[in-house]
Amino acid sequence: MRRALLLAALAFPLAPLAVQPALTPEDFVAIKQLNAAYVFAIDNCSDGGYPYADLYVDDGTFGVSQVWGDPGSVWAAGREALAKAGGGDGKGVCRDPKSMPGYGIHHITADLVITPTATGASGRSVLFTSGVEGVPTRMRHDGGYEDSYVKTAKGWRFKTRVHVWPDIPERLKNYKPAQ
Amino acid sequence: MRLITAGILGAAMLAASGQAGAATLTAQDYIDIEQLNARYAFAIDQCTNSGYDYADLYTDDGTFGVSEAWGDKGKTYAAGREALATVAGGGKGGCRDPKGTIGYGIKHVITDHVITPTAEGAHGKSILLAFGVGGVATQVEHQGGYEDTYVKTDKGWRMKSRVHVFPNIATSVQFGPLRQKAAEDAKKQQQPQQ
Repeated sequence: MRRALLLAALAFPLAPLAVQPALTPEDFVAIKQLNAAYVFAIDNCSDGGYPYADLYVDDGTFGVSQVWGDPGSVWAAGREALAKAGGGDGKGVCRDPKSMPGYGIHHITADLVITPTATGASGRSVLFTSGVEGVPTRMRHDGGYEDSYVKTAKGWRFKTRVHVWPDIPERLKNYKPAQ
Repeated sequence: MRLITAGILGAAMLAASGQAGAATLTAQDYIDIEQLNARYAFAIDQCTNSGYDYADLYTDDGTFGVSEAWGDKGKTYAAGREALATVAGGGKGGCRDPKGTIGYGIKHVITDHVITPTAEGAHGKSILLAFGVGGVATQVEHQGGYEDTYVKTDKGWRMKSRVHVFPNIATSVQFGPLRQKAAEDAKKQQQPQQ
């Protein structure tokens, strides 16, 4: 009898089970690949920046924040604005990279943490930049990215990406984001 | 050039979307290829097993080359197991004194690995950082990256080819002076003997 009760207790736990979102190994891999693809897309503008924009959902956003967990301010919302953020001129052509604030900079991301959420997944990663201040061997830890991802018919995409950049006021004294 | 870049980004987009024509890769395949890439960094930095640990990351007929543009196969520097072991500082005679090798003091760090399924296996692109360039331990150079083809063998995933793509190699802290010297030597050889 005692054994039967024990088995019943194990089979029907008293605490209600919350529905936990889950990701498959394929989901983790695809999100990692999305992040790696971002680096190549942002460092090598092509086709007016649209390959960069298409890493996001159609209403995706890119923003900048000084604090982890804070969405900060949105710099680009939607495909056209994102294409411009990716180096495009809004007419399907890439701007002269020398005219852009990130000229000569290479992005390197590391330590991507992916967490399942009710709507997809969230991510955090570390960002390094090389070639800062025009010196090829100079690297800097530039904060990182805080993302939300959703799974679309085309695969995983960024819903939002926020560059969390604690020393942004100093770094961007003279920079104005693309309108 | 724009076409090359577009091609690269197209491949990246396919990787991101998980769409790649007929071929597909499992999550285990992605993990195995990532592991192959990670082992490369250790094998090239530390001549182990006389360089054959490095060579065995490739297929028996695998190649290593260098290029200055993404999507360009460039020039092959080593083809086959023996040549690859030699590239890693070893070969039949065992490991050479690392101080005499081009990469002495350099540590390879590979990041942002994009893997795309292909009909034959997979294609990869990654970023290469070289620590310790110019003999300064804290000096880091972004040296472009690698562009690879992988095939699945009975021993697991292996590199069929790896190309070090280094667009700015001419001005590289590590390779620039060597290139300059090679160019000067070639010029001297072309000059008529007095």
